[in-house]
Amino acid sequence: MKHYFRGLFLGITALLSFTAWAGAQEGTTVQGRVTTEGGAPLPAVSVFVVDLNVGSLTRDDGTYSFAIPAARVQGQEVTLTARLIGYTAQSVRVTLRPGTITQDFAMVANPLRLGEVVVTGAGTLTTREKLPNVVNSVDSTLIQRSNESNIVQALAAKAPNVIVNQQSGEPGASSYMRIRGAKSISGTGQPLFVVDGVPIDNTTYATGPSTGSTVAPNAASDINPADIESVEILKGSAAAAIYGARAAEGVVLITTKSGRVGPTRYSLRTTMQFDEASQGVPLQRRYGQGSGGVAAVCGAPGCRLTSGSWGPELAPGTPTFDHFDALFTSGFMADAVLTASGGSDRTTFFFSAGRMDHDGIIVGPNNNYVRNTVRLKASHRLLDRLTIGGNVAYVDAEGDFVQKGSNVSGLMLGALRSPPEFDNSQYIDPVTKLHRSYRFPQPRSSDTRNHRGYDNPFFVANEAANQLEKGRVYGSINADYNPLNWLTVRWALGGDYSGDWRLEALPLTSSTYATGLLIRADIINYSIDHSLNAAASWTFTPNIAGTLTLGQNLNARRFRLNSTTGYDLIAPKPFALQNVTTWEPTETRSLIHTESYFAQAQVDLYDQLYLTAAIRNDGFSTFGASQRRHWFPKFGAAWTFTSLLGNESQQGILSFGKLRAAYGETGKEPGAYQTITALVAGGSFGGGWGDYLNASQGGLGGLFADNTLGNQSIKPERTKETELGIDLGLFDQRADLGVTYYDSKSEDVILSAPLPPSTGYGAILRNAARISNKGWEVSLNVRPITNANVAWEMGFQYAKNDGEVLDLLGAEFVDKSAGTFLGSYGSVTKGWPVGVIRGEDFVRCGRGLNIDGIDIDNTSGHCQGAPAGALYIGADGFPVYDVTDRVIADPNPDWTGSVRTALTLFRRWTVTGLLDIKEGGDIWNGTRGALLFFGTHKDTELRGTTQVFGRNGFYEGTVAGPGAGQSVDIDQDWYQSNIGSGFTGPAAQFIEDGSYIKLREISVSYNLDQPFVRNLGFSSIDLRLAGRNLKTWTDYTGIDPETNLGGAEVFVQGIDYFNNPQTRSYVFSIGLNR
Amino acid sequence: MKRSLKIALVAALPIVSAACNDFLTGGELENDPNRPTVAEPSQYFLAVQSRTWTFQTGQWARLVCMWMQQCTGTDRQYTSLGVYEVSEGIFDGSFNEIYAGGGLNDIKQMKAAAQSSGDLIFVGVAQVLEALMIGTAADLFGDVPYSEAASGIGGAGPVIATPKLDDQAAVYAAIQTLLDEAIDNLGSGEGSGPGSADFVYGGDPDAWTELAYTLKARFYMHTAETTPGNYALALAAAANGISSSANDYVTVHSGAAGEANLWYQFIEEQRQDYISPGAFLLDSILEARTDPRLDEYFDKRTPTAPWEGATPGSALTNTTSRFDADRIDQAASQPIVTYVENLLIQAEAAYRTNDQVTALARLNAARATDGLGPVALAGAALLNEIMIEKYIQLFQQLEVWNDWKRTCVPNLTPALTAAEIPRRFIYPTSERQTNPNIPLPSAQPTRNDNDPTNAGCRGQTIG
Repeated sequence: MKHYFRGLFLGITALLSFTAWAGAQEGTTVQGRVTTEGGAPLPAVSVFVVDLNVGSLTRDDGTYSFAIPAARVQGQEVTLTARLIGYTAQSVRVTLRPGTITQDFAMVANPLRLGEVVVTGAGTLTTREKLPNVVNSVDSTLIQRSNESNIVQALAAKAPNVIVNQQSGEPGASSYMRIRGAKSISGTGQPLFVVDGVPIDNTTYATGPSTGSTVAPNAASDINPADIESVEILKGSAAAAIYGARAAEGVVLITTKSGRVGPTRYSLRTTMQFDEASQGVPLQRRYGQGSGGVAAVCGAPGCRLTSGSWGPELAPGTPTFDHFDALFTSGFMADAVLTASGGSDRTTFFFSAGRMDHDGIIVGPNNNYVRNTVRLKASHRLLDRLTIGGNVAYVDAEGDFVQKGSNVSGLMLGALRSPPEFDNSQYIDPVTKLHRSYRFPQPRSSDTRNHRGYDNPFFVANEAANQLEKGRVYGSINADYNPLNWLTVRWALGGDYSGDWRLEALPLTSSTYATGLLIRADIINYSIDHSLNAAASWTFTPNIAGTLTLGQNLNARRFRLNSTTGYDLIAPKPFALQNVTTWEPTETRSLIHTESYFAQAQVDLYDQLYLTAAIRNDGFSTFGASQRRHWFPKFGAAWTFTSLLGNESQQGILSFGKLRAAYGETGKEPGAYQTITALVAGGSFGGGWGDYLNASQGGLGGLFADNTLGNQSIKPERTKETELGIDLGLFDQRADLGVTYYDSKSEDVILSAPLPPSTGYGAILRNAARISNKGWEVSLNVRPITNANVAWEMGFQYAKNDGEVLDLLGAEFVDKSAGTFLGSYGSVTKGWPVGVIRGEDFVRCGRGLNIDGIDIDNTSGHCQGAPAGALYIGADGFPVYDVTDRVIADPNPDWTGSVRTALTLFRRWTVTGLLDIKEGGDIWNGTRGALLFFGTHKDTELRGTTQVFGRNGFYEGTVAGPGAGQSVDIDQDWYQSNIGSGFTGPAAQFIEDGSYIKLREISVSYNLDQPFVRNLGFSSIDLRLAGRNLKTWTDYTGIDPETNLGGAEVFVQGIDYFNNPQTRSYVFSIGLNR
Repeated sequence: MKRSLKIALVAALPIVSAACNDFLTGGELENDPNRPTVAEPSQYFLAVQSRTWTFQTGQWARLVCMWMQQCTGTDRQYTSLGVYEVSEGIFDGSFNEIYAGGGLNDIKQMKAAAQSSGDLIFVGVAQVLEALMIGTAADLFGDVPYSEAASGIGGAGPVIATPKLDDQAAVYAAIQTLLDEAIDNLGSGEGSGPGSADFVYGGDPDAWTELAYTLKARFYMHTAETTPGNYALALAAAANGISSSANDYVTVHSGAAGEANLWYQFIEEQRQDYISPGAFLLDSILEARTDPRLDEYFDKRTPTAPWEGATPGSALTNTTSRFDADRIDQAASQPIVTYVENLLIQAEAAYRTNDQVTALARLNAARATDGLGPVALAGAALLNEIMIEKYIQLFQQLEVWNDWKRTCVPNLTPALTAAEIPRRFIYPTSERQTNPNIPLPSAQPTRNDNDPTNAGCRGQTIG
């Protein structure tokens, strides 16, 4: 907070000091007013003289004026153009002469953005009507409206089939993104991020296991969203092929804001956000700690008590505690961004400085993330035909995180397992001043180095240290050269460097490692990207025009990781490597070079048929020696058939119509050094029972063959996609509808193919798996009212992706979890979409099972006549454990959609809303499974009652079998010793539907530009009140269904096991513009 | 205009041409900076040594110990393993030990590296370790991949992806040849061998030569049931075999993490009470015969508790005896091939070749190593005593099972209601699912070729 106010103060001071700007020179003054057709003033319209590259932006009242120096005024006729995204550009011819020229414009809305330039990657551009494939554009307004500080999260519900899932509501948590289904079974499926033409890192790197440790930011969250002008999402291979072997998971093209010619404009936006936990876990408050109805009593200091809450019903008046709510307070984020931009006829610049300081909702000092960003982007026209530019951003981030997940030192694990009558907030023993927990409530003074069963959550929140400090600089320099009117040459050299310091420390008495553990890691990432493009445009006849682009790209990426785990703290603090007795260092480095060439040709025929073809040749150092170079083609056609029908004016019921078809191929590169058969240094040999011998003995180093055989002919995975679509403008462009169908096949997908051990190796990475993804995307936008005073629009999106793993080299499935996790583990399974969860279930009908020699499906009194999937009830009235390993959950949604609306009233008020809809997509609620075992879940209040499986909400559903309908006693045994909990029973009973409808965004903003505002020295002030994730409608019984324990670190989604919760936020923002 | 175009091209040229030269190859681009790819023979040796020890004294030794009723599984999975509830999945990992990291693959790499540096003594050492590894594999599984196994040396050569099974007899024959070559190489005087990396022999070629001869004798014995002429060959080989207990091939351990005796790690650190002394060895043999080794092998649970082994399938009681603390000390050595075994091979082979005088002398020499006085026996009782002595002396070794399969001494009653004690391991799932040469478990034999049914057990009983 203190830092924040200091930043605000400095910002305002800076703003006020820029009070005067240069007065107009002698010469011509061009001025006027730009309005909509309805007469409403339009701010921020770019009005400029193309020939002289001089111009200005309109003010908030729609007026503009700029001066042309006398030296450049020669009575010539020039083109004056007014341009604004969302409107058709207008040009008039004017004759320049000294004095004042007044020219007003009435802009015609162009909701389909026809004729607007779209960035299509690798330096290629086109206009929207010529696109043969979908490119979803998200502009700065939508990004700002999301109020998200992480650009990936800001893209949630912005484009069909672009699924975004936030790890948790903690400051700095990663967001996972998946476009049109998973194409690979390695990596995490994140798209390539490109900022102003330069690829940047978006890795999520955590120092500990994804099932525990802490959240970690995805590296693209280093971008200040306020710097972004627009985001173009290249979803399929047909669009992304221009990026070749790095583009199979899609490409996110980010264009940062640029300065515009005209007076310098300033803005200071400050945002305050209040967070609270969005959804908790239901806990019981009736029964206390103990077992078998007998209370656990601490007989003497040093006692260790049972972990369960199966004690007696608490006496009336016994104080109980809400173990969820107790841990959370109101979070607060303050974000301030100062921008200044402008330019002369030769030089433009954009400057921004921002500070985001986010204190999360978890109690204690260890839940915050601070991001300071600065950016300067400038360009200068050195010669008439040569412009040079530069764009550099610096980021300084600091984070403190709290341990999570499957981790006896995790926040929620100890909290939610606590018996209701234990006051966790008293986490320090009053006598010994040592860490106390519900399992170890009275530590003795000697208990300084033993574990506490599960850590007290307040101890976790207050005493553990998990820190991030990161500096990153990224950007580019470039030169644009127009040697000939029809030829443009563009050169760019980009870089991305980050140094990331991490500490993860568990103090003495931590239950994970009671003698203290710390992990110190330094992560250094740096890459350099060089590109050289030439684009030639030629109009052969009025009906035939074309563009040819040739390009070259060189890219070098280095990764350096030094990580040392220190065990056994000497003194309780500091958490420094010299203060431990044992170290285990590891080091990982890699260097990857890529060298690529591409060509793209586009032909425009009769202003209605647009053909595009491109080919890219990629050479990667990670490809096998015999596979050094690969080709990635694409081609497509777009046909504006309404032009053939004679509708050039874009009027009428069918005001615009375009058919499009495209095909493209992309790849995914193998990891570094997969060609190499290496030796293991420092390995050991064990047999799975815990006993082992090191290969190094007595201080002498042993080496032996790695289990994985290098593959000399590894090549990129290849995704081939066909995309078909139609775009329609309807009712005088009052509505537009886009429908897209795609069909992609991923081949040569790399998997670890098991080898017979007798070969001397356990596995080899092979290009062998195949995956299919097909889907539909529909977007409908309606603008029922477009008056000067009232404008209302609505947008609907629908997307569906059907993924299927076609082949895994004959295997049925590939395990994708780092070890089984309470009987539930991620996998890639043939016949299913990528990333399904496997585990065990109860015996159910229709699965061909035999129970005690009885073919239950075909035996009367068992499953005969019962529907498939009916729960089989054994003779004792209980379900029966089925040990068959099978797919139990598919976290991929059946479909996703969104509803968006914006209402503008009297130019000043804007009300917006965004609903994010996910239908289907299972979540494993492992938290509930565990809490049933411990007797703290609300559901365990059923203890001591008689229930019938399948009835009255108890395992509701159809049942069959000899014991169906029989009453049984539900008690501690059912949950703790029998098969009714996550520890003792099959995981499938904790799979829940993760469908939700989420009120993702809602906002009201008010814009002031009245004279008193100008008297204050501002052109306008805007105020905004907004909410994010205010309401979620879901049947999910755990925390918010938008969650995943491993976030963007992992590939398998849908895992909820003592995750830290999500948040809902209230936002107030004020923008001062000048 | 033309000039400016030229300038652009000239400016671009160095960048493009620089790019074409080795931009994708060399240095850290091609060479893994994180993992080594070459090793000295002694570095392979250390890994192979550790792997050999885990293979010979780890989980398979414990399993055989239970099946041979020297031990009993008394908790969780070991209860079922001990009563032969095994499937192919249990043996996952076994082929990894034989062939992958530290196994045949690295033995071959070690051999190749030693060969290229002209260190013939080291080559000989590698050949002995190869014979021990593959010979043991043939003992356990019968037909095993060998001629086509671990065929790609360090990924440099082509790897045969589905190695065929070689007949057990062919594997044993190849091992005899290999050991002969080893003996030649060890006697060549060329090279220096593994030196201090060899914790057992310190690289002494003479000790390795003795080990090679004893292994020859051991593997001749394994095939003698079907080829009786091998008894004489075994006797001849053993004459040059391990000549004193000081030259035993045993594991060497310390108290450091990852260097401790595996029985210690399993029993004391990892899986307490999963495995307990077997009633057959403890009660029916050692206690019944008032053999002084009872006290050396086992400890009473409490000073006042009786001697009590666990019978197969039974659970632990409050008085079940334990393994002797010294015997499973973290630094205790575990025997693999010993002087005593060499003596008892000679005893049995002499008996089988009708030289009962030598047989008795060697038996008594073996007894003397444990401080026992001589016995005077003849005929079937002598042979029985030789095998019982071997059963006692080779406690915890895989070789006990090989002897029992040949001789059915001691006469063990299968656990619980099982019809038979297993006579071979099942090929592991990991190999069977990836190598079409491996038959389904149901199609695999229950006995190996060197263990024919018709020869069977000859009904010897405990003397």
